[in-house]
Amino acid sequence: MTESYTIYGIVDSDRPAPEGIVGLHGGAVTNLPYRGIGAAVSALPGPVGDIATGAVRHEAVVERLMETHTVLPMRFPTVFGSPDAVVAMMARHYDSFHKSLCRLHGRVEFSVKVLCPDRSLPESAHPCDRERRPTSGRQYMQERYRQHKGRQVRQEQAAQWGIIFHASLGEWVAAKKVGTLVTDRLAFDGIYLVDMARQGDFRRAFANLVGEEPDLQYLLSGPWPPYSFIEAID
Amino acid sequence: MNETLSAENDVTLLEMLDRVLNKGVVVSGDIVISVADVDLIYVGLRLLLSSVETMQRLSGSVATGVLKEPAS
Repeated sequence: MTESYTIYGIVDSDRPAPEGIVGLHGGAVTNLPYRGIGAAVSALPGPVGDIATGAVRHEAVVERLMETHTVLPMRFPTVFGSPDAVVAMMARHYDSFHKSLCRLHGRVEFSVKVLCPDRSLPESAHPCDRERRPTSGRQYMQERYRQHKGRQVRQEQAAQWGIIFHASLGEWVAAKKVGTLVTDRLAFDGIYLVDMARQGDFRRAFANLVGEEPDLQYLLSGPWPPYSFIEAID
Repeated sequence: MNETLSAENDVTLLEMLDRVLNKGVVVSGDIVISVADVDLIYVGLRLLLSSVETMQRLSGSVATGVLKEPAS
């Protein structure tokens, strides 16, 4: 296989990348410049290889770049055949990249997940549970209705929690993407775009939330590069 | 490391993989390599969350925590 180039992200600088950043398969990360922005790339001597290992390395490079630049992280793996092809891609998408770099400058994302307790779930008969298995169409429909009502109640409850979370976290948030009752127990799944300078405030607001509903389990992860707030380019 | 912390680290890893493989800038045209099975990551995340739930049900504990410390 001939040499190719993997891209880690688009950065808000056309100057050389900081020295010492090691990419996939030990390749040195360099910055390919174009009109004031750049593409952080490294040469690939062969196939990408193990996807999980490569993804971890990709993320490490993006986080390292974020120490000195605003970065639009690329989805992994994005591989081009030559530096010229990378620069041509930047030329095609320059306006989108420039706009996104301005919007995401100095911002990171956090993930908030909330799990509801077991007892809020309605009990349902397992198909193997002979004693509780519906024995008539009427019983079956009653069971289905009970499950539907249970889910409806949980959906309303999850929406209410979403309102409470936003009231607590919203002050520190530049943008958000939230989903409620994603699974039976994943009551709330929120991704928040936060100014780096305000992430301490965001964390404190989250910590205060944790005690509000002692039965819920709250999971916070971040700061992450703003992967979830990249608008579609193509 | 107790089981809850271990599971939370797994969640963090899967959250990272979910981002790196499913989100970010997507460009097309000159790409020479792609991955066809990235959807498996979503499945994995769902399964992992389910396993966290099962573990908590068994232990009867409710844990809270920060999964990833801020970069310093």
